[in-house]
Amino acid sequence: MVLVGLVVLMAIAAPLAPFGPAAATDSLDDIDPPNHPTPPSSRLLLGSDKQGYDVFSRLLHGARATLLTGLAAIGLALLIGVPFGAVSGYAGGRVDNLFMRMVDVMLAFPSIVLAIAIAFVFSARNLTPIILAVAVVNIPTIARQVRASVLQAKTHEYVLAARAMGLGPGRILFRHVLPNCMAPIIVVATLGVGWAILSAAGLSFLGLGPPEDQAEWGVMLQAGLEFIGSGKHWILVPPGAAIAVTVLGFNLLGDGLRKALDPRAR
Amino acid sequence: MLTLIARRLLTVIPLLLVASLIVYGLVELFPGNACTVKLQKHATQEKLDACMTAYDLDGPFPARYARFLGKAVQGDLGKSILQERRVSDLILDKLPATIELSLVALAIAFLFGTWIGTRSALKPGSWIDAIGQIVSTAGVSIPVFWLAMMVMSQFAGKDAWFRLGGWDATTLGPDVAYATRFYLFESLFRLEFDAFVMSIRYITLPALTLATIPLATITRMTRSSVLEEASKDYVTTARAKGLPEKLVIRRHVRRNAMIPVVTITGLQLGVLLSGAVLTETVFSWPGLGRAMISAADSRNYPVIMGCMLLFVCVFVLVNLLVDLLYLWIDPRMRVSGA
Repeated sequence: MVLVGLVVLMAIAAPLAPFGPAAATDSLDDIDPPNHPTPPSSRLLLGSDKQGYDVFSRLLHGARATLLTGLAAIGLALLIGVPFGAVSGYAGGRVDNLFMRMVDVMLAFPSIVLAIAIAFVFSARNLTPIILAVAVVNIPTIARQVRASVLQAKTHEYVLAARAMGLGPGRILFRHVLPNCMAPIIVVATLGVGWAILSAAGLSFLGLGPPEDQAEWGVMLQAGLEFIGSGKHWILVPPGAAIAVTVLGFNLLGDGLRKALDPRAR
Repeated sequence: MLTLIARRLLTVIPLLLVASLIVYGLVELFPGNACTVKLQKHATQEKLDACMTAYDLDGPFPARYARFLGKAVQGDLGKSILQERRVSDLILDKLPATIELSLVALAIAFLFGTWIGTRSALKPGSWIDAIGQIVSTAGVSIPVFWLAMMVMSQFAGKDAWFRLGGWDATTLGPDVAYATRFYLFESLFRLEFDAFVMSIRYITLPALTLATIPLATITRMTRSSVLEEASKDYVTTARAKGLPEKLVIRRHVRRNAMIPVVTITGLQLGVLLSGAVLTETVFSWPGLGRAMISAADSRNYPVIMGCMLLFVCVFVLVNLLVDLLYLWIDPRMRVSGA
C-alpha cells in the first residue's frame, strides 16, 4: 500500500521539477512592444506583460533560472556543509565543540534576515548574490544532519575494521563512513532545493537579484506588483503558480525519498 | 531549576556577542555609502568626511565595533543617517506592528492547525485528513508574497470590508493616538471598539496570509503527535475503564500530544517575526521588516544594524523561552537537558 503511494508520489514529483529547460529551448523571448499588456490569445498563450514580453516564454526561461538557483545554492551548501559536518562528527571533542558553536551562531539568525544581508553584500544585478545568500543560509542545517549521521555511522564495526587495517582518519571518513551516510543527506538536500527556490524567489522579489528584464519568476512577480487589482491575472498568476508547483515537486520528491530510504518511516 | 535557567541565559550572551560582530561586519561589507546618498550633489570631500566622522563610519574596524557595541548594550543604537532620528525610536515605532501581525497570524495558525491536525489524526482518510494534507504541503510550497498578491488582487478595487495596506493612527479613527502603537491590543484594552474593529479590518488579510507558513508545520506536527499518543497503552486503559471516547481524547490524548506542538508553535514565532519581511512588503505593513529593507536599499547603516540586531535578539530570546517552557512542561527534560 504505502509503496504504491510512494511510487505515485515520485511519479508526480519527478516530471514536475525538470519540465522547464527541455521545453524552453524551442521558444525564445518574443517581443511585441506597442500594445503593452495584452490578454492571453491563441498566439500568446499567457498574454504579454508591460514590456511586451510573452509571459509564457518568460515563464519557461524563468524555470531555467529557478532550477539553476536552487540546485547551485544547495550544491554550494553541500560542498561546504558536508565536509564541515563530517569532520565535526568524526573528530568529536574540541573540534566538534568549536564547529557546533559556529553552527549555533548561524542558526541564531532568522534565515531570511541573514540571507538578505548576504545578498546585499554581494550586490549585483544577476543571480549570484541570491545563490550565495541561499547557500550560506543552508550550510548549518546540512552540517547538522551530516554530523548526526556520521556520529551514528562511526559506531559501526566496519569503521573499527578499517582502523585496524591502519587506514588514516581522512580515508576512513570520506571513503567509508560518508558513503554510508548518503541517504539522509540526499533527502535533506532534496527538501533543501525546494526551500532554496522559495527563498531565492523571495530575494529576487525584493529586488536583490536579476534586473527587471531578465526572465526569472521572482522578478516577474515584482513587476506584477503594479497590476494588483487590475484584473490582469495572466501577469500575476503564472510565475507564482510555477514557483509553487516546482517547490511542491521537490518537497514531494524529498518526502518520497525519505520514505524509500528510511526504513523507520515506512 | 533556577541554576538551569541561569546557565541557559549565560550561553546566550556569547552567542549574541558573536552575532553582533557578524551583523556589524556584514553591514560594513555592503557596497555603497549612506553619506553619498544623503549629500547627493552637494557632496564635497570635506562634507563627506564630516558625515563619515559624525556617524562613525571612518577609522579602524575594531575600534568602531567596540564603540558600537558599548553603546548598543546601553540601548543606544545611534542615529539614522537619512532621517534625524534615533534608531531606537524608529524601532519602537515599527516593532509593534510586526509583533501584532506575527502574534495574530500565529494564533490563527495554532487554532486551525491543532483542530485540523487532531481531527485528521483521529479519522485518517476522511475529508478533513485530505484537507490537512493539502494544508501542510501547500503551506511549505506556496511563496507567501505571491499568496499575499493574490489575496490583494481578490479584494482590491471592490468596496470590501477588509482594508488593504498598513494602518496608522489617522486611518484607525479620529482619536487613536496610542503611545504604544499596539493598535489592536491597546484598543481592545481600552475598550474602544470602533478602533478595535477598524484594526481588525486592517490586520485580517495580512495575518491570514502570514498564517499559512506556521499552519503547515503545526498541522503536520499535531497530526503525527496525536497519532503517536493515541496508540499508547494508557489510552487503551482509559478506554477499557469505560471512559467516553470524547473524554479519552480531550483529557488524555490531546493533553499529551500538545507538548511538542506547543514547542513548535513557539519556535515558529521566531520564524514569523522575520518571515513577515515579505508579507509586510506586499501589504505595505508599517513593520520592522519593511523598515529594514528600505534602510538596506539606502545603505542607512545604523538602521540596518539596529533592525538586524533586534531580529537576532528576538529570535534567540524566543527560542530560549521555548526551551525553558519545555523544561517547565516536561520535568524529564530537566535531568537530561542539563
